[in-house]
Amino acid sequence: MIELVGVGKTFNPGRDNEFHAVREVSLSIEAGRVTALRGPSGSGKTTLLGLIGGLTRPSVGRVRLQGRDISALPERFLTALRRDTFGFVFQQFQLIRDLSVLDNVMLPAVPTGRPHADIRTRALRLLDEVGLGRRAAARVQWLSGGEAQRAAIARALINDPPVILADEPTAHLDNVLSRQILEILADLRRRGRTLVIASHDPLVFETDLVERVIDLRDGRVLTVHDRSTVPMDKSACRP
Amino acid sequence: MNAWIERQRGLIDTTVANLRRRKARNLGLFMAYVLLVFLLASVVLFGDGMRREARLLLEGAPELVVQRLTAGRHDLMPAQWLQRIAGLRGVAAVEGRLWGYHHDAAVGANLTLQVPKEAAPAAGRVHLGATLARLRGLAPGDVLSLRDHAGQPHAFVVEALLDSRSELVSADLVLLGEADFRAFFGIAAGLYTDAALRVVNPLETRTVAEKVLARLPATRVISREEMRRTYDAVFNWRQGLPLMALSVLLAAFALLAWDKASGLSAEERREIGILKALGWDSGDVLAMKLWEGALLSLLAFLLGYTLAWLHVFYAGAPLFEPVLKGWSVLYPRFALAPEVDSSRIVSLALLTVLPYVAATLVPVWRAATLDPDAVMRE
Repeated sequence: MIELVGVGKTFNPGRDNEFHAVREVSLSIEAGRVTALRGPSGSGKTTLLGLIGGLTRPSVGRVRLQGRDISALPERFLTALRRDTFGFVFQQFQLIRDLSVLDNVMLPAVPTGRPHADIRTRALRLLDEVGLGRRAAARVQWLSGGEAQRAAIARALINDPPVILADEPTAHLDNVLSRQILEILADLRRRGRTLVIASHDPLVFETDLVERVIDLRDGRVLTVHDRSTVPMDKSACRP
Repeated sequence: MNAWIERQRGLIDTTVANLRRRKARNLGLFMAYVLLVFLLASVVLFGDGMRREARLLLEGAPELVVQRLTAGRHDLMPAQWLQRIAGLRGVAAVEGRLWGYHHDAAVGANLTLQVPKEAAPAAGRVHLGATLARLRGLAPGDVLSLRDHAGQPHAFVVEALLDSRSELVSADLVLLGEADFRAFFGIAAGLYTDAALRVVNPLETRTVAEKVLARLPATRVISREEMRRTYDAVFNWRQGLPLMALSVLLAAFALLAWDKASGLSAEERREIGILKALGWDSGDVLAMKLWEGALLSLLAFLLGYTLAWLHVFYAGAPLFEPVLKGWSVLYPRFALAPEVDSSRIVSLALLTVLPYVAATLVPVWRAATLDPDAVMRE
C-alpha cells in the first residue's frame, strides 16, 4: 500500500549544519497491519514517519501510496492527502492550548467542508470511544498526559483516515496509561486500519499489537522483522 | 457551494474560539480599536455636519455681496451706488443691507445687529438669538438695554426669540428696525453696510462680479461660492486640530496593531504548523486569519462608528465641540442633522480595517508556507 523507494532526507543541504536524517530507505508497508519503526533517538524514525505521511518531501527517492507517487504532488494535493488518508498522533500531543478538547478534535475536519453538526457529532462519539466524553468541554491544558494522548488519537480519527501514524505514542506515559493507549491502538487495528508506529518503548513491542518491526539506525534500515514469520529480537529494544 | 459555506462556517467557529482564547489581549486591542474609530469618526462626522449646515445656510444667501472699500477697509455704501449696480446687465435685484457689530460688556461678546429684509420688528422692539437671550436671562416682554455709538443707553423690548434651529448663525443676533439701527449706530439715511445682489443667470455670476468691479473699482465682490469655500476652509482647519492630536493615538494604535498583527509569537507559529500537519493548507490558515482580522476590525469599526454617530448627532459632540465650533464667547446650542454618508463610511472603513487585515496576513502567509514537519520534530 505504502512504498518507499530509495528515499533519503537531508536537512539544510549544502550548509555547515547539513544533516542526513534518512538515507536510501526502501520498504513497503502493508495495508491493515501494524508496522513499528524502532530505533534509538536520532535514528530517523520521526523523519521517516513524516515522509510516509506527506508532512515533508524526500530529498531523493519516491514515496508511493497505492502505486501513486506522492513525493512530487503539489502542496494542495499533498495537504488533502494528509487530511483524508492519514491521521497523525504526535509525540508531544500537539494539542492547541486554551481550546477545548472538542474544538481540538474537530480541527482536522474544518477544511473538509462537512456539515458542522456532523463533525461535532462524530467528534463527541470519538471522545466517548476513547473515554473522554465527559472532558469534551475541558481545555486541553487541564488534561493529564494519558487524557491528552487519547484526545490526540480522537483527533487523528476525525476524518476517518485509513492510516494512523503515531510518533512515540507512549512516551511521557506511565505503564498503566501506556497500556490504555496501546489497547486503543489495538482496537483501531481490529477495525482494519493501517498503523505505523515510531517508538523505542519496549512496552510497545511486548504486546501482540505490532506485526512488523523495522529497525533503524543513523537513518538507515537495519532489519525488518515480520512477527508472523520470524521471532522478534527484543534485545534491540533500548530506551 | 454548500461545502464552501460549511468550510467558512467552520473557519469562523474556529476563529471565534481562537479569539476567546486570548480574551484579555484581544479585548484590549478591540477596545483600543473602537476608541480610535470613535474619535476619528467623531471628528469627521462633526466636520461634515458643520460643513453641511453651513452649506444649507448659504443656500439662502445672495449670489453676490458688494462692499465698498476705503483705503482697503470696509466702508458704508451710498444708496446711489446701489442704483449704479442695479443698472448693470445681468443683475436681477439689488438690496442695501444694514448690519453691524456691537460689543456687549454684560456678556463680554460681540453681538451682530441686523435689519432683516422682511418682517422687521417695530420701533423699540427686537428679536433675539436664543443663545444671547439665555446668557442675558431674557424672555419675550423683557427689556434689552444696550449703549449706542454715543454711549447713551437704548432700551429695546424683546418681542420674540429666534428659532433655535438656526442657532448656529443666530446665537449672537439682534434683529431690529431700520430707524432703530440707524439711530443706534449713528448711520445717516442713504448709507448701507453693503449690497446684496441677485443675478438673472447664476452661471454668469462671475461675469456680473467683473462688471460690478469695472463700474465701481473701490469695492470688493464676494460670491456665495467664495463664502462656502471660506466656511469649508475654516472647518477643515479646525478639524485638523483634533486630528493632529489624534495622530499620536493613531501612531500608538498602529504600533500596537502592528505588534499584534505582524509579530507572530513562537506559540502562534507552532499552532500554524500543527494545523498544516493536520491537513489545513496555506489557504485555510490564511482564510482563518483573514476572518480573525476582519471580525475584530469590522466589529470594532461598526461599534466605534455607531458610538461616534450617537456622540455627534445625539449627544452634541461634547468632546470636540469647543474646538470644532470655534472659540466664540457665545456657544450656540444646536443639533446637527443626522446623516449617513455611505462613501464616508467606506473611506473610514478602508482607512481603519484594511491596514490591520493586511498587516495580519503577511506574517501568517510566511508562516503558513513553511513545511509542517517541524511539528513532528519538536
